[in-house]
Amino acid sequence: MNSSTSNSRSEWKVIASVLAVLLIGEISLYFTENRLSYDVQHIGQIPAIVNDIKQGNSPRVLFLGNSLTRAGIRPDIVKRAWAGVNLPDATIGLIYPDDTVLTDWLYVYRRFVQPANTQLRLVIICFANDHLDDGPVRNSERLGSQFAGLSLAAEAFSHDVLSLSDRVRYLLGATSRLWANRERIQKRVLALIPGYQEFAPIINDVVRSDGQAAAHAKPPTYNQLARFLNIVTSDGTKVVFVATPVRQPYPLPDELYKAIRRGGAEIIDLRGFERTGPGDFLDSLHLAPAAAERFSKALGSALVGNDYAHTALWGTRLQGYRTEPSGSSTVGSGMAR
Amino acid sequence: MLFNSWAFWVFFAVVISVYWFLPFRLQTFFLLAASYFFYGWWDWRFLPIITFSTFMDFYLGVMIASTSSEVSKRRYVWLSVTVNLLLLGLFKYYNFFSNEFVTALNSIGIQASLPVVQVLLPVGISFYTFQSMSYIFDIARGVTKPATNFWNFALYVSFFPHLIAGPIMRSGAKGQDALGRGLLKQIETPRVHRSDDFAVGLYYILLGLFKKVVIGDNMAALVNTIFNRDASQLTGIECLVGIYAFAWQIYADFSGYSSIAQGVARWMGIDLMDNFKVPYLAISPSDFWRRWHISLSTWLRDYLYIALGGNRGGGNMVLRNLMITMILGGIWHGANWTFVFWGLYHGALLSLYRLMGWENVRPRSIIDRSWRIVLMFHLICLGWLLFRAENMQQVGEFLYLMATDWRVTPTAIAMLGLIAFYALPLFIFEYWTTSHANNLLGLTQSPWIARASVYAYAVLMLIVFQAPESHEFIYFQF
Repeated sequence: MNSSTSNSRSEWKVIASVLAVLLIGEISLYFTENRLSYDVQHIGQIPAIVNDIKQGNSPRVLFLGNSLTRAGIRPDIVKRAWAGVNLPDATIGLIYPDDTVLTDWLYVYRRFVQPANTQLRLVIICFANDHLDDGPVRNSERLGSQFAGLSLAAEAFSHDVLSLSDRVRYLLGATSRLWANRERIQKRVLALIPGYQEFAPIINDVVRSDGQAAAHAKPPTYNQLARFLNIVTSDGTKVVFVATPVRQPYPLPDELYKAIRRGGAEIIDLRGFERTGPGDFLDSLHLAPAAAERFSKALGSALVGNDYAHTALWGTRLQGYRTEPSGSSTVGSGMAR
Repeated sequence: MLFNSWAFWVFFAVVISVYWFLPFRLQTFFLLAASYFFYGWWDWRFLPIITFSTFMDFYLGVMIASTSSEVSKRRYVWLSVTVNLLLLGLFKYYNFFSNEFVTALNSIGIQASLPVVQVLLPVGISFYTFQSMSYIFDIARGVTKPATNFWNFALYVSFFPHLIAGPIMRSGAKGQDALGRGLLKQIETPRVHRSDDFAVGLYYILLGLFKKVVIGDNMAALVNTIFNRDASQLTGIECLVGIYAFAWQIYADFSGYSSIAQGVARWMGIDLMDNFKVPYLAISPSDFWRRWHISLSTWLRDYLYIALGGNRGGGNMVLRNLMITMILGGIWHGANWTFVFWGLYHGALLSLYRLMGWENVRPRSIIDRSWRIVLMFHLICLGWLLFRAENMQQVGEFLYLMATDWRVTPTAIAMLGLIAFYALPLFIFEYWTTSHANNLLGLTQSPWIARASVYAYAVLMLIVFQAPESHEFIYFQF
């Protein structure tokens, strides 16, 4: 075996070279991360969004969610619904990192919103399916890198990131941009394969249905939800959960209603908002623009007509007010039980 | 504790750190304890079964070696085979055969019912049972001696890198040099640090992780997308591409496991045999079985096919022996009719090639070799359909669609693109490396810059292109 082939010394050169390549990848991403996706840009803007809310007029409202919020909520239309019944203007901020669930939102709140002391009146969370259920962390690296970070690692490890594998992935996500952004890089590269953009949602549905089948083997629990509500309501902020329409109907368990009530929050059921056909949805989850306008209007009216939300936003209990007819009986019927 | 989990690597880091500081005798005890801990991690209830099997075969081995009576030897061998197969049959096959038996009785009007055994299948039972049996057979044949003590034999059976999914290692009998160094012989010999142990181990581990995590798991997502769908939603081309994806999934998954096992063992100074040699370059069925799951195919050849008479006794006897061997090889994989038909199919392929004399025809040119490789790959893929299908009805539906519906869809194009993206670099690499060396170690003998380039690619792919879901190794279920 000659000196260039494998022995311990040349193997260390090989390992050093691989580490150098990884370092170059890290440095490159440091400068180009924002170009990877709109979602990365949005997450980078969260501190500025929170600051804008803080600087705005009271009442201050935060929509915290995922792409359901991004696709479904038009803050201008929500405000217009309020202005239509002569309610004062409000400051609305939207935070909607993609593919996130309650655990991620909890840490977004803990890391970005709580320390800023924004004096929010209301946090509104648009959810569907199992977004509020207890369950394993979906994406530990993103939790580590973008939502909780190293500063909240101890809290995350004691409540949410429990397995060794998840903890390692969390720490790698918190310390390596390459690791944290790998799914986004993967999507960008695979998008070059013809037909991949159409095929990816099919794979995602299969993966998701596998996961849901496993999750539905036992009834859902809501301990994480109780923890989230305890944290947010301790800051004097009210919370409204909005059951958001998706293409396939989904149930709202009684236990969910009870957990939300116990936590001092409210639920508004808009799953059955007025639909006009398959064109209401861009895919299996997200509202098309025209449907999003109708949904935002319906939500604005529902918030005005809801005692809990009305009191939180405008400080007075609802007296004889009726929601503006939005052409939808389902909004009224879908109010909190 | 999966090889592709962090828990395993923490476990292994602890084991190897302690291992090399221990004297030889203690290394054996320590590795045995680590192996039982590793096995018990899956489910501690599996431990009594492997312990019982180990005790029985160790003492039967001693008794076989110490008796001069052929009748007694044969009795001890049959005792070992019967008990081992009973264990295997109870855990793996009882429910299948009892169901089939009751169904058969019901179909002729006899109402019957047999108790259902609700037990977990102990992982790796097929592998360590066959390994123990080969030890007993070799002692009975007089080609090897019993283990020097019980602890060495216990480690031979339970050595954790290969415990769950092989390779099925031989003890180190005479005449088995082609299968590499026997595991029992290595365990009984003090370890020696070789200068390339680290490099070769690293190569095997990286290659194995790349195969499993990057190719196997990503192919699994494609395969599940096709095989979990209703046939009415598929086209024939999609079915075909789904089978291609499974061909790469099962190869990457299983050979990835074997590769990691080799690397981990190598870092402990122990060699495990090559279980795969670029099987999709095979030009005939027998060539395929010389390249695929070599430790099982050679086991079946040595202890079943040859015991049945092998190539002796004329044409029909040879074909009978081939069919029996392959059907039992199929059943070894699991209790399902699809595995029976898979074995039957491969037996038929081997018989056909033998009858027609195609086995012995050497390729005359690269083009000749190429079309035979392509043909063989598709014949293997047909077998994989039997292997992967949920039931024979799905096999029929896929075959019908592939014969009648040739619509090219965006799904089929995207899947082909993904297979090419993930699997083609591996195929090219393995073709290149085997054309430079007798095994997959060609890269370890290349200049460091070549290794650095390949390793950097593998590591980047491992980081960036992990599948949305991590899967267990397919062969764990066997």
